[in-house]
Amino acid sequence: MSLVKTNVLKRKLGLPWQKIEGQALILDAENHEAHELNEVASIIWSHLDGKTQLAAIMDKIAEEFEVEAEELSYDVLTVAQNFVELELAECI
Amino acid sequence: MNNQSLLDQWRNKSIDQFIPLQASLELTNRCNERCGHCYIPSFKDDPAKVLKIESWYQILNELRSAGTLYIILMGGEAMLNPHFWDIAKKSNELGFHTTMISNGLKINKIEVAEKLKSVGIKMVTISLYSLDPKIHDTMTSVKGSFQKTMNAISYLRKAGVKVTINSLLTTLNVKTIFDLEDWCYKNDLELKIDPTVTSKLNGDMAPTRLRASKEQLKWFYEQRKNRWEMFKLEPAEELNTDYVCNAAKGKCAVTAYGDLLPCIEIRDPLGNLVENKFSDIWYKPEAKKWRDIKFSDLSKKSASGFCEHCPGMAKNELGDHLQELDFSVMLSQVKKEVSETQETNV
Ligand SMILES: C[S@@+](CC[C@H](N)C(=O)[O-])C[C@H]1O[C@@H](n2cnc3c(N)ncnc32)[C@H](O)[C@@H]1O
Ligand code: SF4
Repeated sequence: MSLVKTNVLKRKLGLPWQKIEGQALILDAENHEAHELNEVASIIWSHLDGKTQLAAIMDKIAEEFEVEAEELSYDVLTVAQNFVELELAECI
Repeated sequence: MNNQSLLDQWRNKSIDQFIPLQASLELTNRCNERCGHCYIPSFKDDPAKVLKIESWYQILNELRSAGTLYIILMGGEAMLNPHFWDIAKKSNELGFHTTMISNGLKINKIEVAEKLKSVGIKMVTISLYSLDPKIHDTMTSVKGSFQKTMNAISYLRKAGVKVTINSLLTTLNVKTIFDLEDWCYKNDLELKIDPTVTSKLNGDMAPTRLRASKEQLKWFYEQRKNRWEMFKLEPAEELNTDYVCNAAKGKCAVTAYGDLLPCIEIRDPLGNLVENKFSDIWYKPEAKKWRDIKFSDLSKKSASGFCEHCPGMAKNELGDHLQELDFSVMLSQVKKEVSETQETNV
């Protein structure tokens, strides 16, 4: 399944994570893995609250980095897709 | 980068920036055992001071904003807090890695272990002192506690909750400690053996009477290094400019009354989290006293490379957080001696 801008994602419940200095760390204890995210992926991750559409996340990042949301579309969808494939987040 | 080096990197980052990556929460002082070695001065909660569930939620939220990732629920016996389940659930929902240290007595059926799993408890560290029921029960002062603790381990593992074991080395269990180690190894259970019995947190020295003697400690380390390659003792680098411990930097603790502590051993509250915001008290100048202790501040009686100094323990016992305890000095010397015989043997 490939994601579109109107999709809403939710972080999988029970996945410990934290953000320090704009960088997120996710502990995937079941798979004995830890993932450190880059700055943009960390912003996306922290907004996967089960309420915010990917389009709104793109707008937030665009505002922060002073670029057009359209330019970010591919990257944000790809990162979000990765979260789903790694079973760190689910599409609701 | 492998997981361990990534986690170490985060740990170092938290120490450098005073981010309490790990927070221990004493959910209650109450307990269903009466261990002779226990550091808790009184197993009662003052009803006027004990926190309401809303306060625990508020504290969890503040720790979340402060950068905490690991929450350790403990006590007393954490499960005796009437809000235990709600606190554990909330901790998981907020994204903390939530674990518990427990004697296991309340985990008395598989359903309890399953519930712990379902509220998101990632690991339970069980305190087990010996495989000899008499010795364990003597240490906890509760007849039958050994069997109940063993049952808890088995329920937890059946429910898919990771279990690790904590044991304290005392005069009472030293002789059987390697039976416990063998059993843990056979059962794939990580075991931590702590050789240091602290005083009670109010300075009462009663628990320290159970400390293993110098000869017993020496025997323990000698045997251990002969049994396991990984337990060969190596001196650590202790530069004068290095911090002695992680208190008030990468870790903190919260008491059953909401007092914020630099670490579980240091009972000088930085402030109360019901009355103050975390950020207002964590960075206040008084915290520096605990945050900035370096090796150069110590009298250096300990064997170099094997320092066992704990500022909280020294404060509780001697009233001076920089003075090294005789026991810590002795332990460091024992470790050094054993490490040297290792080298001669090679
Ligand atoms: C205070 S207990 C609280 C949790 C739970 N009641 C238990 O016993 O596991 C936490 C850990 O501290 C250890 N402990 C208790 N008193 C101690 C002391 N005086 N010195 C060192 N460790 C101690 C216990 O063995 C236990 O593993
Ligand atoms: S060590 Fe744990 S079980 Fe034993 S009395 Fe203290 S709090 Fe209770």
